[in-house]
Amino acid sequence: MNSVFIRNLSFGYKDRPLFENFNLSIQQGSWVTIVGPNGSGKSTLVKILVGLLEGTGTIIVNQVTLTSSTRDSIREYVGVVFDNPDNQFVSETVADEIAFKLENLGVNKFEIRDKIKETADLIGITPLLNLEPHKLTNGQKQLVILAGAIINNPPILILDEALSKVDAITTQKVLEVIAYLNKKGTTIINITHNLDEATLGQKVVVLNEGEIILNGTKEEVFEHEKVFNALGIQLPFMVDLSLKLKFYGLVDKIIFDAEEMVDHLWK
Amino acid sequence: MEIKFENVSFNNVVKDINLKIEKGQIIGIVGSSGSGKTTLVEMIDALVLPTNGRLLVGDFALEKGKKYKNINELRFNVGFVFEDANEQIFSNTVYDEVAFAMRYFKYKKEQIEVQVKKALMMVGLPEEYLYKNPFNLSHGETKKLAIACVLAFNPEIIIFDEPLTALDNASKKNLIKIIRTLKTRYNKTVIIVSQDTDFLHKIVDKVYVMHKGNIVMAGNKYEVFQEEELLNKYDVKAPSVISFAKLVEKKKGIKIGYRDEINDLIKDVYRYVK
Repeated sequence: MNSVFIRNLSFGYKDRPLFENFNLSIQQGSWVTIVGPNGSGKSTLVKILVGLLEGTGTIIVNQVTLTSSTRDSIREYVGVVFDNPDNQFVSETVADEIAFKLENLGVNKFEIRDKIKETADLIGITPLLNLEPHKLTNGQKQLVILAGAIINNPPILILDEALSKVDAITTQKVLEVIAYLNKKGTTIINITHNLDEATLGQKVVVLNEGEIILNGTKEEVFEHEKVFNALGIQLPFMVDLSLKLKFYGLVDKIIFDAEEMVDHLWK
Repeated sequence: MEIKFENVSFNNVVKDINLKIEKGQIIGIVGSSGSGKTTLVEMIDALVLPTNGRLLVGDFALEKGKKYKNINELRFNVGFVFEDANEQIFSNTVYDEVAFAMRYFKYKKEQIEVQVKKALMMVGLPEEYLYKNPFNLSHGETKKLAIACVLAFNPEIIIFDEPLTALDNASKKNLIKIIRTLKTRYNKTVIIVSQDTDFLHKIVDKVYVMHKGNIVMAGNKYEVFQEEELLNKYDVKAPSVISFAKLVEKKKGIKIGYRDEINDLIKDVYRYVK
């Protein structure tokens, strides 16, 4: 079953076309990382998926065909985290901010209270609950937005450069939370320029100028080193290491885990 | 030109810092967000003033409560590349933007033209961009423009705050080349604030780790970057090449050595495995 199904999508900005008869399916429960250089259409694609932009063609998200009447309710089953947290805050405290979606859905007070606690614990932001969102650091702000996006357990979570302002250690923690959600069945769509974030997921899609140039499992896609070099996208350290060791005949495949790599090299 | 922090604080953000940065070094400053690292370097360009202590940039002393009429004597020597390049752009053409500081400091017209072109070439922006509107550039190009603006007026000290934001891989490599040139050919002092230790490890001489407003680790990059557990405690990741070498040592008892680049690590691995 597909979480996202796009057929013959066409979309362009005033002066230039971007997508022409664009197709993409994303399986339910998968974790797809979408990468591409600036201007490749990654962020536009997200905006179309969440109904902020409108193209022509068929777009089905979570079994619902996007139309002018279904577009408004899309956030009920899609959690979204954009790259700029400041534009997304609406509340006075972190707790209210996280609860925003549930309040809109008319969930009762007691259930909201429990969900706030559960979600804050999962993401590790319980100490921040009574603070004002605007006073947090960029990294903390992104964690709050993430908590607000997943509080109603949406079947699909979309991250649009969500970790670009977050430090490396926090990024690692967030990716672990995302891995946990994915294990429980949430479809993850992560748009990023940092391929390190792809190593925990399963699939990678590479976009360039509105076209898909690579689409497959991370193992398949990362073999195309030259494509990434040409697009100016840095491969994750372990991939780079694997491919170079492969060249010297020391390994025969990409190994993502450092411990596994060491054991493989010194058997 | 030497930079000296003497018991410098800024509110609760930067606390009682003592630090000496000698001329001609490349310094890396790391730390999680909110650790005070940006504020620390902003003080060097007098973008914020100490609330306690004294900061010397060459002969120029920055202290609390003093009024500075001659702040431009300091700014003439310090170039600051902001994280968000858009913040520093305000001219109608790329040429005017890059020329701005030099006009302000009354450089001759011919010299301005030469240095504008040279700076654009260094960052890899084509000459036909000279009369473009800077607000129409892409993120990556704007970042390059911001770097060119600083290189053009040739300051002694150059500060980069998160320079990699918005740069693609090829531009990152070019930036590394530029920074190396600034040190080796022009003997500039370069200070880089970044969370990317893989990037810093390739170019810096010394590293300072900040945490909650304090400098908690300091030393040459090999000393600091091999303390992986301590770094993690301060929410900083050790560089991948060092982290891998440490893992080999931990799991197999083999010391393959600490390197700057992945290609050198590969050679070591090859030697020890064969």
